[in-house]
Amino acid sequence: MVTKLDLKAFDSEAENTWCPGCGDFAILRSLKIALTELGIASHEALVVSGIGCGSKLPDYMHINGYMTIHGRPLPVATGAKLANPDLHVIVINGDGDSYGIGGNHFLHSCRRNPNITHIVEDNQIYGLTKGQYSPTSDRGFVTTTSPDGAIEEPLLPVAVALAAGATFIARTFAGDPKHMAAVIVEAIKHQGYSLIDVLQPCVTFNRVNTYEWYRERVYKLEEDYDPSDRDSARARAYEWEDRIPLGIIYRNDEAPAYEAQVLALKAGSPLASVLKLQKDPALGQYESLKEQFL
Amino acid sequence: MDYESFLADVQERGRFRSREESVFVTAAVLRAVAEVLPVAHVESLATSVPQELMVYLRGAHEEPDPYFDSNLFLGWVLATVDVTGGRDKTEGGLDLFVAYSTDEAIDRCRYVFSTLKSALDDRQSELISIHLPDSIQQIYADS
Ligand SMILES: Cc1ncc(C[n+]2csc(CCOP(=O)(O)OP(=O)(O)O)c2C)c(N)n1
Ligand code: SF4
Ligand SMILES: [Mg+2]
Repeated sequence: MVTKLDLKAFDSEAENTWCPGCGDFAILRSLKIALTELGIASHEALVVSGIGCGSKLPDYMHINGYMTIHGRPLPVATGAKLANPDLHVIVINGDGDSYGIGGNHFLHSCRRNPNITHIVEDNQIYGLTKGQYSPTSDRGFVTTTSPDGAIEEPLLPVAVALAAGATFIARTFAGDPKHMAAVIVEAIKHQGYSLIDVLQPCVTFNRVNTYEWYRERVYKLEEDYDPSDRDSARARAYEWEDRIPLGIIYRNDEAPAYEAQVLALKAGSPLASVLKLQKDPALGQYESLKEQFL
Repeated sequence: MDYESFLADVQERGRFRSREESVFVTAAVLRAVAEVLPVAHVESLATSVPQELMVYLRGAHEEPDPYFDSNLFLGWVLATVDVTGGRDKTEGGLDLFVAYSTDEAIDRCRYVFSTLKSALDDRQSELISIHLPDSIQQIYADS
């Protein structure tokens, strides 16, 4: 069991190549804080990412990590969760990885409801590839690939997740690390797919959506806000531009997680069975596993 | 110190081309200070800080975020760097902009801190210093 004193247990020796001032640092720290608060040790969790600046995060943590190809962390994470349901599986990737190239997986994870925590480092730009507009870039945003300003309306992740059936939807801001850590704690505790869209300033390539830009617009949901009320959530989901709500916008704690409904998992964790089999091979057990999974 | 003298002082230290650049940089640094200084302390600075700049400090929170660190502080200031055209100090590296922007942001903190310190009395200066994240505190001390 980890205690609060063990935050450093998650430190890795990898050289960090994020730009100083990048919002990703605060996300990394908040994730470590959340895990220590929940008493989750490195070996009990898996962090899966894609490709992008934010997706370098697993490298910067002493934890099980998996960097997939661009846009694919959600299906890989779902597979890992099915193979080992005892693992806390966390996906962390950028807005391009998550809502652009990985948009299809995002939609289906929302309705599939695997018990996965999905943290999106949403800087409204492609950072790693040096500043192209992304699915969440605001209309008119000028970048190298939108020289006359982005023509499309931005995707509103919270609204899309709600429409697609996600059971836990939150937004937080990298400039408020304490709030962020508290939201991550709740998301990890949620039994099902949880989306946290993090407003993450990219200080190098996004010169519009700065810390100040977000600070002027964000507000925390009122104490008496009821996240289980879908209609209230729908109204907040469309708030963007002038006022941006932060907090748990929607949660449904009644819906069963995907893996709780997979018949093949009723007998327990496949990984645990394999490990047991390795220790104590029994032909019958092997045949039954083969029948279930091959 | 009045508002115009404050801006002129920052402009001279930073060798900024215009008064507007000085306003922009000063505002960014003071807004970052407002992220860490509890609002209860802000008014005690009003005797020394020009009213026009107190506006930024009054954006302070009742309880500043305990995890707000030096990196986030610099993030606020970095937003000013390319708009005002920082001097290029690149000595290699993959990204020319990133290579000099952090140094430039630190320098910009220094210019504003130096002017601010010259306007504040010791007690006020200490009040700001103790609330700054560690390495920003060092930059403040060196300013
Ligand atoms: C299949 C594929 N297409 C395109 C790329 C190029 N590419 C790498 S990262 C990236 C976008 C990253 O943006 P985002 O996910 O928002 O992450 P950020 O860098 O902003 O954190 C792209 C287009 C790639 N690596 N693989
Ligand atoms: S380019 Fe942007 S997102 Fe990438 S590390 Fe730098 S500040 Fe962060
Ligand atoms: Mg991005």
